Amino acid sequence: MDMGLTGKRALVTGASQGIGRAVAEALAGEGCALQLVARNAETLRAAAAEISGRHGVAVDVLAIDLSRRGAAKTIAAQYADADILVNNAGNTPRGDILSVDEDAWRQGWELKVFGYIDLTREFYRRMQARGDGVIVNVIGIGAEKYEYAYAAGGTGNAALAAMTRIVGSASLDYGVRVLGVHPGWVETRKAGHSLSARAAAELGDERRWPELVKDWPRGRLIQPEEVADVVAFLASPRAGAMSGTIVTVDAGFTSRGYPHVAKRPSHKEQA
Amino acid sequence: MACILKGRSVLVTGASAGIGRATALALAQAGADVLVTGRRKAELDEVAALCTQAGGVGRALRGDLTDHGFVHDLGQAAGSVDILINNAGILTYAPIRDATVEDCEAMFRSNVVAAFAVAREIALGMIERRRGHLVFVTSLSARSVNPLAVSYAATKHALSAYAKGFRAELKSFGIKVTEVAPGMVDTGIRDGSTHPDVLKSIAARKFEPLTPEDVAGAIVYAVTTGDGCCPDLIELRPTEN
Repeated sequence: MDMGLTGKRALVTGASQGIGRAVAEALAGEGCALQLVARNAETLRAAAAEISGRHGVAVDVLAIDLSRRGAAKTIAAQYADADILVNNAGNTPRGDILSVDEDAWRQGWELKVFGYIDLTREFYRRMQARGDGVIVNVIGIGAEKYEYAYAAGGTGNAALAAMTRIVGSASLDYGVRVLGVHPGWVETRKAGHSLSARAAAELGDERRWPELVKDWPRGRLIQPEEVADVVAFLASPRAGAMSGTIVTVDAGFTSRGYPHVAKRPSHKEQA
Repeated sequence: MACILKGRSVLVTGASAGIGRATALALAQAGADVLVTGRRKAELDEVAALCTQAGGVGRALRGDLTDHGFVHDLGQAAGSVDILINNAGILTYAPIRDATVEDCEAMFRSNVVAAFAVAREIALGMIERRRGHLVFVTSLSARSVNPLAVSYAATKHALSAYAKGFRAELKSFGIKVTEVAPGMVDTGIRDGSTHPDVLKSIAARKFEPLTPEDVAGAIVYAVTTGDGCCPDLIELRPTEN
């Protein structure tokens, strides 16, 4: 199936690692020219060189701190022509409401909540003027499946989910689609850190983190590529009738109300 | 020459035209990775593309250096840059009786305050890495003061003081600081000065001005000197001046 993405210009934030990196790869694989944004100039350049080497597409990079007020304007001045914006950069601290202090909470929201809102505003304005464009916000299941120990992240994600639905509810009247993806627990460095920390606290050994996820769907984490493929589809004209909605990519985690240990048939039983 | 700056990264301010543009191209020809900044997007993108064609890697970031937030963004984008060409500047010629305070303020904001902000932002990383080279593009107006350009000369005197100050404070971190002071160069910087006295003075000029490439050549020399040698000050004068 031709995704119809060839030649599109896609801006991806938080693109040097994790889901953002995988989204960049997926879009480059579909022939998009990339505009990659992340904090660290060196890792970003290395990622850009690899991606453009592998897929033969133009990859431009901009190292910038998205949590700074005004950063969205700098980005928009640089990449005013983006056809696709993927808001992905985030690093909201884990912890319950008592353990995330005001500074840490606000700092987390500057990057993910206000960072997404400011970039959406800047690029939506330009896409509206052109009558064409797609904005995909990578949010997170914390928006729907509340977790006591993810207070700042879950609350921020809920706000971004609402923003996505509100803007996307009418954006297609101006030719622009605004969509979201809620990834579940994805195998990234960030998830690795929090699971290792939990394993150290609960099981006394950080290396035992896989035991914490054995009751989760498939008994493992989601792969970044599994999220990236959905983002690429939503960004493509194949999803032309979709706007103001959010797709959950969590292998069933959010819908699963009670723990379920899958009994997987062994080879012997099958035989 | 071709690859003498291979693997080195450079940030050039005021690179959409004039000395900045010529310097960016010369550095790219020497193999450098060049990040160019300026206010004019189309011109800037063209310079970046030419840098890439010339054998370096050209990247552009459009913005206004008098916006402190943008200076921060620029520092982030530049990453662990090896060389800064602190070149951006503006110039409005006028006799004192017609010179406006607004023009004076604008020149000080661009030529002095923004230049300090950029140099400081980039120097912070260089101090951490204990290496780097800051090049301040001043002017012969940093030494002598000519009629019709009094405020401009005042800004360049101030910028020259910054060059000396950065050198004094940063040499112990292994950071080089060079002041390049060209005399009159024919660039678009004067295009906004339309006072009749100015036009008359330019028409009466009896010497050929420098070219942007002359200045770029001096800058390439400065940034390719050996580790143990820091050209403090390079003054360039039109031959017949």
